[in-house]
Amino acid sequence: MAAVARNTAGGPPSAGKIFQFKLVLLGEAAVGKSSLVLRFVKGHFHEYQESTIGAAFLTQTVCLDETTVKFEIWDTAGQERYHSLAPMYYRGAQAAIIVYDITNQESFNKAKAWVRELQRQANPNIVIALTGNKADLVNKRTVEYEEAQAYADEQGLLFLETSAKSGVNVNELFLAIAKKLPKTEPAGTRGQGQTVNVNAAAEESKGGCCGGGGGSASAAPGGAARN
Amino acid sequence: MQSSETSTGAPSRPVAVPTSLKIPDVIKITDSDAADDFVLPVATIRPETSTERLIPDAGAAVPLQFTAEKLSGWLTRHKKTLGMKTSDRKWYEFVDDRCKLFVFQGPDEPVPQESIDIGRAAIVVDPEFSEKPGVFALSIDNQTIVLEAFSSDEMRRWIQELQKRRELFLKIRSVDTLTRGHTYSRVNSSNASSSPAAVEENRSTSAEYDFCAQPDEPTGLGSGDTSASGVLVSFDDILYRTTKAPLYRPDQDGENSAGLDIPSQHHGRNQPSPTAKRSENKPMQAFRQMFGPNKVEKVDVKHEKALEDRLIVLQDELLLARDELTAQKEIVTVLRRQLDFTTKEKEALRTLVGSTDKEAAQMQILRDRCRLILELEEALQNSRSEKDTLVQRSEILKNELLEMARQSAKLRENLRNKENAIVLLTEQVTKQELSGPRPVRNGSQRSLPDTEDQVQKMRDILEAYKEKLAFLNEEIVSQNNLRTEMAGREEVLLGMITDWEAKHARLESRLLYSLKDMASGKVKSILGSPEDEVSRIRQRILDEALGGSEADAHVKAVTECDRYGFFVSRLHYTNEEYLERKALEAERRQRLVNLRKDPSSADLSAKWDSFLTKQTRLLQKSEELKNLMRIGCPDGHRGRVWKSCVEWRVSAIKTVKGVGYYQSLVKDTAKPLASSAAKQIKIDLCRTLPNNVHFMNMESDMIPRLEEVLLAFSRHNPAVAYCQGMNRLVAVALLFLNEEDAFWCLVAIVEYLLPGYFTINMIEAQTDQRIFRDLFATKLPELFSHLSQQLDPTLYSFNWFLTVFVDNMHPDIFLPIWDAFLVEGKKVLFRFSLAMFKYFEDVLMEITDQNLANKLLRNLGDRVTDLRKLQAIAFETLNPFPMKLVKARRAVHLPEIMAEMQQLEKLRASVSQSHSNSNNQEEDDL
Repeated sequence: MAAVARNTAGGPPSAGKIFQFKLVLLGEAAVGKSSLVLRFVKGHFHEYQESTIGAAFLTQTVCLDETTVKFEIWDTAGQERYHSLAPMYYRGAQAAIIVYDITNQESFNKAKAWVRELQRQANPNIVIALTGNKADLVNKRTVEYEEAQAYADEQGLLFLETSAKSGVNVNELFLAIAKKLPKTEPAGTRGQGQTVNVNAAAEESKGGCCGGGGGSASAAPGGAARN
Repeated sequence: MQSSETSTGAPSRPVAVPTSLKIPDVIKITDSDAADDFVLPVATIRPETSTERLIPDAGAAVPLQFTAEKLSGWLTRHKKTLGMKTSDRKWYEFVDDRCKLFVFQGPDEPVPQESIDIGRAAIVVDPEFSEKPGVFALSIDNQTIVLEAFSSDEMRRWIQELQKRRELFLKIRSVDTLTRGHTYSRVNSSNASSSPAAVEENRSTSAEYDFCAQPDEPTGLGSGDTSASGVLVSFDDILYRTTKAPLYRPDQDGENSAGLDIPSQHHGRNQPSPTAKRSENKPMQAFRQMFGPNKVEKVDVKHEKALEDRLIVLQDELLLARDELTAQKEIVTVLRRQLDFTTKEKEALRTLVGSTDKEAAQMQILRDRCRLILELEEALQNSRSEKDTLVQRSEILKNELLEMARQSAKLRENLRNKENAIVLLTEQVTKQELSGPRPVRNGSQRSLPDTEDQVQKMRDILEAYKEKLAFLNEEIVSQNNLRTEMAGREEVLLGMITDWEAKHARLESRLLYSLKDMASGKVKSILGSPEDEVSRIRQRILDEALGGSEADAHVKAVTECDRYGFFVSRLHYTNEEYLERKALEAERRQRLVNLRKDPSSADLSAKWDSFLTKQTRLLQKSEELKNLMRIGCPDGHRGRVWKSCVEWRVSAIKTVKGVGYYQSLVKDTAKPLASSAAKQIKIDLCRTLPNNVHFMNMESDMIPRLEEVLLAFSRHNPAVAYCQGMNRLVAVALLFLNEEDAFWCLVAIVEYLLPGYFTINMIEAQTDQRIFRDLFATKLPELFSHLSQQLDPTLYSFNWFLTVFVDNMHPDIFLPIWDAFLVEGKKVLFRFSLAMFKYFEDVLMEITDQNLANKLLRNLGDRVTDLRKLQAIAFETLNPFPMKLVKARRAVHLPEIMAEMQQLEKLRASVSQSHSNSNNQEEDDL
């Protein structure tokens, strides 16, 4: 079910150009950054995911219409004292996912701080997605969807509420980012700010629809995103 | 006239018993047999009236009426009156109770013409009358009555009878006078002549009487013969003394000793010997009591005792016989003197007879003396013969004594031997009692033979056991050989099994890689078979290889954990990765088995053993330990060695903080704690080692300890408090140390081995990564240039440094790295980090794809299967390891990073400032 992205390599033949993007995940500790990546890359979920030391590097490929997007995912450590390392990872990144825990208000505040830092410090064209994780824990919600949505609209961010545990909106999140990324240059050239135009969202049939991941920040909540 | 004188004088004159005549003594001193014979007639005395007239047969042809009752007969009396010799034949009758010879005209004549007092008469047989054989004389008061019997035989009978009866009379009268005066009884001496003993007695008594009577004779031997009477008296005494001696016999000892004057020397000679004998018997009795009745010996002893007793008796008898002999010799001597005396007397009398009127009377006396001499000679003869017999007897006794002595000596020898034997046996018994726990009880009679039997039996059993033991020893040796052989074979087989396992796992992983490729569509359906069938087959093979559904994978993982509690969770990996890991695991196992088989590993464990035995509980830092730790510590010693390594670092601070510091940190919950730290610790507890059974969930045993240590450290060092990564360090420490030691281990690492790594900006950690990059470029320039086109190697090494390789690495690899790290510190991290890249240099050089390189590098730790190779690279290949360079690079990078950090902080401060400003602005706008 979550094999959407992974199996894109076997997707449409001669899908056009391949675009490669550097994506960094930021957010407070234990909000689910690694779990989101694991869900996206491997389709797994572990109740107790080892805390990330420094950063973890993974790659994943997403197939859009006629184009293939390859993500270099940098999963960073969430604990504050590792933040000093963060510039090393977000430097040159075309995309960033800032994750907070919907049951933890503090993590939302921290997310805002990351947004500001990236806006100041990172690539000016960086695509930033705000993600409220642990959507499965609706009962314990402290960060309202509307509040986050409003903030994202205001800051011009992609916004989705996801659940790494259940897999809701995980692929959608990455697809939305992939779609939003500017596709100006062909893949294969590594470097900063390289973007390739994505002409078509060559979605693989069995990967399910990710049409909900449009550039618009007004994506539906997790449950609604699935067709 | 003579007769009247005698007759008148006879009744009136009291019979004077010579004082020297001790008749009872004389009776006593005779043989007991003779005494009995004598007593018997006394008992049969028939009282007769004095008036009773016993009339002999008148016309009897026998001149002498010699009956038991009466002595009577015809005798012719010769008288010399006025030179004229007359002789008339008369009837002479002896009246016992008067002791007188009455003269009758004939046997029937009632009134006697004359009486002769025999009691006062001396009977003399004069040799001068030899021409007339039947003549003898009775001399009374200087008057001699010559009587003639028909023959000399008859004369002798007369003399004997007269003597005998006179003696009897005198004796009875003396008894009567002593008791009741004048009561006379007739003594029956019927068998007086029947026994020779009686004759002999008669002779001796008569002789005695004569001797004794001699001094009473007023006209005896004249005034000059005092010497003779003195001789007689002394003779008498001797007789008395010597005859007394034979009475003294040992068997009569008890009865007679009271009444008799026993010579003391007899006692002296006799008494000690029995007591001595008795005292000699004492040890024998003691032995008998000790060893019970040894029958043979008892008989011997009894026999010997009897013999000894007999010997004593015989010795006594011999002594007595000797005494007797001496007495007899004395008697003989006396008798000889007497004989000489009488001969002299005779000579004197002869001269007297020749010169005086009383020649005839003197001749009579002489004749008497001659007869006495004859008698004495006869007695002497008897004594001599007696002496001879005694001598003979003494000779016999001597021989017997010698025999006895010989026997006694023999028996003594016997006894001594037996004593020796007993002593020997006693010693043996004592020894056995001392040595063995078997006391000889229930009486000694059974113990000796029983013990011997038992000893024999025990010896047999011992022999049997010895044989059995020898056999069992052989058996043990052979069994041990067999066991060693089997163990060797088992080892070989295990190695083979592991080899096969590794091969199997490798094939499996290759198969799965192929399957993965097929699944990913890289390999299209071959041979034109329908695609859905291929995928079906593929799925089946995959399922088989994975061994069950994902649902039970977790349970399975727990049961398959290694000795440290680590397991490979299938949930963490894709199917391909999982299978690859399994393959790697098998390969690692194979290498471990090969290592175990390698003799160097045996050397290594021997080295460790010899090293640790030399050490105190707390090990000291040494080159030897450093070298050993570079190879790795055996699991069993790791706790001790780690604790020692930690101690080297923290002993100073431990001393400062004092005993019980850790406990106080644990209890001191009131101490203000950075809430974020506590919260983070709580969140991270189960995110520390989720692939280890001790830490896999909140219920796991070591989770509370982990929290305790981390919280204690956050109180101990608030500046650091808690940094992610420390949780893994503590978790690994807790696998080998208790909470307190794990705490100090964390202190050692955070504050001493890796200072500045876990502080707010982690400046040192970042600096070291830049140094490492420089080092990498220096040491492995080709690989560095190749890799750095795709990715930054510090992306991976940062993890290794901060967690000391715990992250994403197999415990068989990271634990030996810990060993070396705890001894040598941070440079070990540089060495091994470089070695990790070097280990996979060839593989990495072939990879040009960033993704593939990343994939490999992310799991680099898991892929290391050959620890020895890695160690060899770290400590040999990479030498010389330039720590100078490290220092030099640090000098460059540290200020760099510090500047960057300052800049970053400034930026963040400004961002947050602008954010709050903008917020304020917005609020203002509103």
